[in-house]
Amino acid sequence: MTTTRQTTGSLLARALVCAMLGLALGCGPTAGGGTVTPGTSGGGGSDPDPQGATEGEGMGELHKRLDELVGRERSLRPAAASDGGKCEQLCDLATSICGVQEKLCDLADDHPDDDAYQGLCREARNECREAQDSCVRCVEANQNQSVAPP
Amino acid sequence: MKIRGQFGFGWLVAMVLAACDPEAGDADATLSPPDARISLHQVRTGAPTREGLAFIGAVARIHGDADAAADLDTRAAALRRGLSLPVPANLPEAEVLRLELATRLSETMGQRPEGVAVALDLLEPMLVPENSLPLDRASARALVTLGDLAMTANDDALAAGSYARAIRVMSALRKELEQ
Repeated sequence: MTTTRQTTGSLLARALVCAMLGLALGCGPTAGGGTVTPGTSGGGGSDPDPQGATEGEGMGELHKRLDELVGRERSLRPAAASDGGKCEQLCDLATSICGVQEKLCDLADDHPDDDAYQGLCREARNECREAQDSCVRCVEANQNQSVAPP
Repeated sequence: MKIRGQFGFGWLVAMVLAACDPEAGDADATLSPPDARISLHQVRTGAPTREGLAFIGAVARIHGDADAAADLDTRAAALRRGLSLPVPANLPEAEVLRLELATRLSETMGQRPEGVAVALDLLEPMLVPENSLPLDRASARALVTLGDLAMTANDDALAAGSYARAIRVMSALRKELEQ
């Protein structure tokens, strides 16, 4: 179980870093067709050097940024893994609570005039909602922590 | 004297009839309100001992035997063996391990209609609201199993109380995780 969580957390962290690298490489101002001088081959010709004003320092800068991102990923990995495990537990609890709540409220439906049953059903619904909110909060906080600037 | 004797005989007949009514007990159970009280305690961890590790290993093997069992009877027999293992001193974790064994045995017995009452007899005393339960998923699972068995036995009050208590255990676990 723990191994599965750690593996999942590690995969999550790697996926996040891949996404960040993808953004850096694919959407940054130094990449893409926007910086290629119109009318040229855009890197497809015989000259292997980058074209355009910002592409001149592209490879070096990208290497530097890659190193930074890899270092950042390494520093974030343990935190992301532990928070991922915590979120997994919170979300698993939410699923269980809401499953039992359904059983309890089905039972309460058979006792519509009994305040005790109705009260327990209401309490269970509230717990289910709070547990789901808690799961969502954890996942969102985990995502924000992973993409926040150092 | 004669009148009093006839009245006494009629009263006696009425009492016997009431006692023999098979639905009288169920009606009482259905009318009683659900008891959702819960008292929880933290699961302590004891210093590892050779006896403690041997017990934990034996319980793990019992679960393995139960997994491999070809039929319900063999599985139930394995789990009963687990519950009969002597618990070593200074092993607080044994409470959770025994609760898991009892829950699994109750689930196994409850798969047969004739086993539901026996399963309830096993699990209900371990989970009475007056007793404190370990703050662990095992308590929640045991309470859900008790609720399911009570549903099968048409004991709505016990089922509702058990489900509500299971939710309270899981809610306490959630709050502990959030801290």
